[in-house]
Amino acid sequence: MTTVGKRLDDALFGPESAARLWCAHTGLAVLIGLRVVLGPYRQLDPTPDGLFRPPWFLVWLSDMPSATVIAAVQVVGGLAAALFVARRWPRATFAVAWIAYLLLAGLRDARGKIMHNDVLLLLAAVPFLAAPMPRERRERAPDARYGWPIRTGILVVALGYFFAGYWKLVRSGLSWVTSENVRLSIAWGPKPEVGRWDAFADFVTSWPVLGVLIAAFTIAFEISFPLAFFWAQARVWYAAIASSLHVATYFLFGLDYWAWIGTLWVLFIDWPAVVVAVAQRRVRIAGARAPG
Amino acid sequence: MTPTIRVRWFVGVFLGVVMLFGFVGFEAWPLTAFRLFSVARDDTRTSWEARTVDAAGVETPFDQQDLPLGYRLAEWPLSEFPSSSDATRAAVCRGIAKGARDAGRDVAAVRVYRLRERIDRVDDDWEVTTDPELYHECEHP
Repeated sequence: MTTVGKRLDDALFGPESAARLWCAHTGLAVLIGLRVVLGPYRQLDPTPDGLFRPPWFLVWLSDMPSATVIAAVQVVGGLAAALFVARRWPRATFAVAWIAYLLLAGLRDARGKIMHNDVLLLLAAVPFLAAPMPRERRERAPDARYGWPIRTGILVVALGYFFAGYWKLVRSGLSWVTSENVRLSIAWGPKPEVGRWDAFADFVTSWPVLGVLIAAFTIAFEISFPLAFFWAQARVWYAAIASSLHVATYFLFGLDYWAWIGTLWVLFIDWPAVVVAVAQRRVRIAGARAPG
Repeated sequence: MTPTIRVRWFVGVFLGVVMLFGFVGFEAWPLTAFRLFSVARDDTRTSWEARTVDAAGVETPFDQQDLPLGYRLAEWPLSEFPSSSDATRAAVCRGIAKGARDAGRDVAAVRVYRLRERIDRVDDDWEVTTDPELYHECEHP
């Protein structure tokens, strides 16, 4: 195997702890459960036939299902996610929750416009459909059996952001940065119209140079995202910056990308290691304060 | 214990598909190329708007933002009108008419306009000028 191939193999199939896999799997199930239960899917009824454009795996539907059917899928998906968190029939319940989420998000996508809000969580959760189910959920020793679902999920997330930057360069070239693109995108505002923070939009569009700086930073950030796959210490920074950009696009365009933010933080951080580090720090501080 | 050959194949095929869609630009939701905000915007754009016409000939904007979620992205099927078949156009018009009638309007026809819009900075404010062109009309949808 070449050096590059060996590095890629190590990065993709390297070890992680059973505790981290348990935590990431649970976090994804919670996110999926929340999206399934809280999503505005029942409001998709009525969608008239002429405006119903289902994705390829829903073409067997002649029209939008009724609110009752959609609610039933939400109940089944939410229950399945809750049962997975309790580790009841985990292989089956995670799959049922994921399929319910796929169906519901697919219905939301079935209105003629490609919706990206749910794709990152859906795709990053795919490796976990086949992931091992460790019994020793507090075991922190790295084990090669448990690393690949987390690392594959991280690579999917990194590729998602990378392709977002890649297509900006392919379709618009450097003019995406050097023109008034970002400033005018914000000035035009969200389409379809939704509520946004107009004062923030006015501030950003008041300074032409600010739009160019935001554009340059965004492209550099997205194109460099695969670094986060190979460089674990950088992940927290990539997650924090990506979250900030999503919050900004929420205020400027009303775009709901909290599923992307949740996916980032669930997969990019080794939470059991964080908990241990915080506990050790508390013990050290308590020891330093102890008399004598 | 290292991952089995089956796991490696599963991971390899899955990542291969994600990268194929990303690099080539295929779209088969939820597989996607992640083309988010990829086309640079300038000071002009083309939008599409539906208006309903009542029996007295009075035009009213469809205003899908005030209708249920299923109608709110109605502009996207309209933007495909230049390449849509007559049957598809008629189906979209029927859908728009249904939404307007459910909202209590009288609908004798649906008109689809192509709007050429321009945005300018005027006195610390943004002003949009719109030039509508009647693109298609569906009678008795």
